[in-house]
Amino acid sequence: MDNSEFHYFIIFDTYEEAMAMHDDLDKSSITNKISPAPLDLVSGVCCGVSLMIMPSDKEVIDKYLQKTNLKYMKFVKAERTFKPKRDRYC
Amino acid sequence: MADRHEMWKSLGMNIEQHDVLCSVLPGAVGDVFMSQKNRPKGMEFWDMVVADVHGIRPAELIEEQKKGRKVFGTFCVYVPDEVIIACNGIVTGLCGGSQFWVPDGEAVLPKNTCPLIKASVGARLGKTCPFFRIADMYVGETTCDGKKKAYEILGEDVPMYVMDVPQMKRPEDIERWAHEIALFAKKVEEFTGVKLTVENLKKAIHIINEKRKAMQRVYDTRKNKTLPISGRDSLLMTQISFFDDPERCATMCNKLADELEERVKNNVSVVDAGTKRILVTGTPLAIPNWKLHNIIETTGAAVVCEEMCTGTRYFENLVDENINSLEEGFKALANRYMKTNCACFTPNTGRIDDIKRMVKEYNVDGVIDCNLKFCCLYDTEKFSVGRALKEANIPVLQLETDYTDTDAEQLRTRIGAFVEMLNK
Repeated sequence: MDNSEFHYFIIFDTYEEAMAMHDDLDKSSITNKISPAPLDLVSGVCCGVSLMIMPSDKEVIDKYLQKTNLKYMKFVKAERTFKPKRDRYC
Repeated sequence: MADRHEMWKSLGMNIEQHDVLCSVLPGAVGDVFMSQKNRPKGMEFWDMVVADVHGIRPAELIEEQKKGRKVFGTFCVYVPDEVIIACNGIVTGLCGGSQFWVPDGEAVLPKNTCPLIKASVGARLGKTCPFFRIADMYVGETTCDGKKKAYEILGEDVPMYVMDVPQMKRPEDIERWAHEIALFAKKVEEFTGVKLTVENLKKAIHIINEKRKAMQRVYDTRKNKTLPISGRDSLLMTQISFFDDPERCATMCNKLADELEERVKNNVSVVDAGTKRILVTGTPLAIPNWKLHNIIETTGAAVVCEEMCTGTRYFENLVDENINSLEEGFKALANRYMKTNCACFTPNTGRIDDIKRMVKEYNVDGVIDCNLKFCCLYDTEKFSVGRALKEANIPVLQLETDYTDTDAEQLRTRIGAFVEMLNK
């Protein structure tokens, strides 16, 4: 996972669905990270757990998900940079 | 449960304000946790919990309340969870670790109150934390003056029970604490409608002991020169353990410990060889206070141990499970809890002994002794802690901070200089 400006977030109805997809993607060696959902972009109508994927993996995941019964709500594209020394906490 | 807003509304929360808090979480979690390399896979459980920290566990608690169980909110590691669990109650931590809650606390408290107290009061009165809304009863304790007065204010808004913690550790004080636990047990029985028995108390003691052992296992892996987990991740595990179901917490900590022990065997470290090892001591770091750990670990050092309430004080020492009466149970609990070395006691030389012991056990290169602003107890104890560590030739840096981001650069400079000194 790099520090790209934009990432895709897979949004779910429940955290159980998020974790099921996470486990499935992991087993298939498709890179994804558990992340807080960008609630400001989805008006909070989802669970707080999302999966973050790199833009370069979007196509692979799209194809992969077509072959599975894994449940999810939608993909959301959002800016997300990692700056460990940004020093902005909650 | 797709729409958390419905749940939060049903708790009477200020949704608009709470959304502001939710909007900062992804950035902070990203910077502090997701930016780390080579994290243990076992941390995924805690990543999930923190991602939906105001959703998953609150929803579980509400479901349990529907079954008639009571939720007790606590603020201190001196409150014996065992008594609550024995009476089929649920314990949830309530300490506030965010600057977001401080202004609402300052509306009723003096500004020169420690941020943990201000944030805790603010989270309740500002209606911006589901745990503070869910708890049926708050259990306070007389560990410091700020908390005592804050509990009076909170007690006007929510059922409150305050335990009188002794200020010394003489045999009569330990006896007094056992009596105080017995009084608390009566209150818990009355509130839950469940009678405390030797059997259910024994079972609860066992549950919490297992949780302590599991957490200790994770910490034990941090004693190795090969460091299998960062201080930030360990801190997150500990912070969330205050909120989680104790049996699930033990299971997840044991699972993580299994992985960490493998990492140690296979020489998998999260830091480069030679990275300086820091023990952090002082006031607790309530969730989501990750500032100090993040600054230390992005300034070339690694945190290997926390001698604090959100650290070793929470799980070191077990309660004797071999009890044959409630009286023996209360004594066993008092004996264990009174081994916790908090600065509210006088004298508190046990804390210095603990720090010196842990410096050896965790192969520590330097100690950072940090207190939250306006915590008079820990600030004053810095003198004796600093002197003892200097006499033992243990490098120490003493700091004071709060929940704001404004002193981050200053802390980074001071910690950077300390790490540089350790590297020489």
